[in-house]
Amino acid sequence: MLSACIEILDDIKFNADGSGTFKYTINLSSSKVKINSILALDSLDGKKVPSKNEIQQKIDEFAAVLSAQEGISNIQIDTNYSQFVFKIQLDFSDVFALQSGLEQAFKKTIRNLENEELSYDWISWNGSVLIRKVPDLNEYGPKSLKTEDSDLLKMGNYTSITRFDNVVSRFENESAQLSKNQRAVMLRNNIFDVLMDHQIMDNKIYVDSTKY
Amino acid sequence: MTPFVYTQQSEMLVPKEASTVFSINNIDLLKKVSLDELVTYDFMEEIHQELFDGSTSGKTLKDAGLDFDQRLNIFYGKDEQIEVSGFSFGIKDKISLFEVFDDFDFEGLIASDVEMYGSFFNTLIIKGESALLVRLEPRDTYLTRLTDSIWYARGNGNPYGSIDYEVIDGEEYEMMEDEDEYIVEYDAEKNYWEILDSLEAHLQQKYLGELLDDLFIEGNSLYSGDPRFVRQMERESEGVFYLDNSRNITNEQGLWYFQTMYPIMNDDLKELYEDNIILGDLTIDSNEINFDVNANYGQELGVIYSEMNNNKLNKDFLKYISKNAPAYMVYNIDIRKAYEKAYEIVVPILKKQKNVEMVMNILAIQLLDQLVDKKSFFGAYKGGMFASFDGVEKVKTTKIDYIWDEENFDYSEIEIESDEEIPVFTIGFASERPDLCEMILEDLGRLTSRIQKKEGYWIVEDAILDATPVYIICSKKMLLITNNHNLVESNMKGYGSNAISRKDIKKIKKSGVLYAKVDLDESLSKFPIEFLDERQKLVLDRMKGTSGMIELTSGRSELNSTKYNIEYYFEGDSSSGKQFLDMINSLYIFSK
Repeated sequence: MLSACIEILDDIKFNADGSGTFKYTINLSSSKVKINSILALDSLDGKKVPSKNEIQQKIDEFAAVLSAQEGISNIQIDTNYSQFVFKIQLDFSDVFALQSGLEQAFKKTIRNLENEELSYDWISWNGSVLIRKVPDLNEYGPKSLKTEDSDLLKMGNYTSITRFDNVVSRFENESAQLSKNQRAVMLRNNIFDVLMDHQIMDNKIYVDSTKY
Repeated sequence: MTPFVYTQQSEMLVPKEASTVFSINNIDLLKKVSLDELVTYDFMEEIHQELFDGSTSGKTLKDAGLDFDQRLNIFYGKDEQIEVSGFSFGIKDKISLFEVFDDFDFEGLIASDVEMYGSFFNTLIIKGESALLVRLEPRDTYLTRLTDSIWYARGNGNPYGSIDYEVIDGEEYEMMEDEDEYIVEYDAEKNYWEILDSLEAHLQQKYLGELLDDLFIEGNSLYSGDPRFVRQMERESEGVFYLDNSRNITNEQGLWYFQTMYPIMNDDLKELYEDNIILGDLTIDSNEINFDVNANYGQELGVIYSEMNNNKLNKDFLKYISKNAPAYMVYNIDIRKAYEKAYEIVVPILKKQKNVEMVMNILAIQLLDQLVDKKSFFGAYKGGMFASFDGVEKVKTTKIDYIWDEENFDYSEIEIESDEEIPVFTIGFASERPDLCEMILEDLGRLTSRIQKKEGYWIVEDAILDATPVYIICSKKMLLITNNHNLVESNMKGYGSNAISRKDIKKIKKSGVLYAKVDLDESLSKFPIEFLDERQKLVLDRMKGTSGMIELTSGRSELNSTKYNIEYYFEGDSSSGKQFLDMINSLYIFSK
């Protein structure tokens, strides 16, 4: 049995006042032997392979920049190098603060993105309608994938969960599921499909602000 | 200078700067290969863009007006300043040729019967019924050195403007000797990159002009200057290979440290590599390509090689190669004998120099020779080795999974068992000092609990990728390192009837210093290419999708040459021409 190479969990909880909690998890535990084999190298495909220390430094730098952003608080970073699971959790005052805070942190931490225009709206929320997108990962990923890598990516999942205090009345993405308590929407696709077409994760969720 | 007195043939247009040439005699083989497919090969990389612009679409070599009675010669060469690549071929139909080479514009005559056409960085020369497509570029290192020299001599700071590089104010920069030639031509207002671009264009033009004049006016080609190349061209095999290793070794960047730190020693030792040339013949049968290689060298190197290479096979190696191993190699050398002979030959060469640095170097070498216990040293590492790729094995690891609550999509993490595949290798080194191996492991074992002594072997826990152990067996005849638990659990004394067959053993014994066998189906799909260097990775990547078997054997090392043979048996539907090109491509990548 081949293992899924990567699991991404993208989880946002909205409070009634527009503030909320954002959690993002990258789980590479299914590929830890492969990752260890890559980390053992100096370079791969002509690019330097960072050490665990360098990766941690970058994560710390990201967290420091993010925590300085207005409207962002309670940042928690959890890195597990034995299973290669990386988690970030933070509270935000509104979606604008979340979007702008992450944008600034990425720009200041990742050199390649310094001059990139990242300010495309991936989330908006007006109290009753939420529009969600995921970033176009393909833009920053490899230009071509080998068949075996594609096969592995097809076994990985990108799961996006959106939670509300109120009841969800409907949503537009037909692949999404509603929880039994009707307050959470989950959308899951394999990573390969998301890489090829990030719009399959787009969703517009309508919330009944009168029903708790 | 000898004028051409024979019928013009494509091989006569190969410039003398080429140190590697693949010459395809029977290009009938390639008649059906489409041009679109041809330009995907690495040997076409430098020159392909003009061909790959739609004018090749749906066409074969036959449609391109090539003369199939002449050879197709693919060449490559480099020195400290330039890199040159291209191919020469015969022309049957000039009109058809220019339907493919439709971007080339006529640029003039080099001589009355030599037409020159250009397109971007490529140049097409037509002389009689043969043509040369050539691309010449200055080497990056040379270009950067020259640009730096001009840039800093003008008092400029670091062109990258990075804080990582400190520029010392007022530091005087010494100009390179050949810089004067260029400095006047460049506008003082130009920035670093503009100077670099101007220089690149200038050098490209200058060196290409010199090469073409030399080839077409002076008549100096590889053919006219090297009788060994001529002899190769007279052979009737489907393809021939010429690699002047003496020039490749001199230009080898891997020897940069040695060349920089010990320039005098390097110059003196160059004479050892004179006559170092590799000549090969490629023959093709319905499902088999045979590559016979003759590695030629001078007498002095030959004496060292024959001491090093002509040894009895270490039979213990063969017991530890499983008959199911998709790939394995046996390398049978004796470095003590090689050392003794090399000492005998190299020291007198170096002693010709009488300067202080060289005298001190030689003194150090002689003292080490006298003081080091060579018996112990070479007993511990005799030089012979084998390596086998034993396929992949599933290993148990754990992974983080999630349990979902359908009520609210809350989730919690659980650790579950998981399988990952890991490549399994065994490497054995000839060694007669198990006591040294035991001593080192015992001492290291006191430092970490990961190293433990077991019955007959040592285990180093999580040594590979933090996931699987490595086993070390220190036996009387060899040191074995493996991550194959099947070997230590059930086959400590060898695989017995599951070891490689008698037929294979016979072949290995018959082979000289080197024997290798690769089952392409098994190896190409399973071999972890992350561990290979870029060049090896490229070859493996290019060969994916092919199936069959490659077998490498060698003969005895004689005083002036060693013979090698590569046999490639292939299966499947692909044409002989395609397999032939695949093989040439692999060799090209390795020899570049």
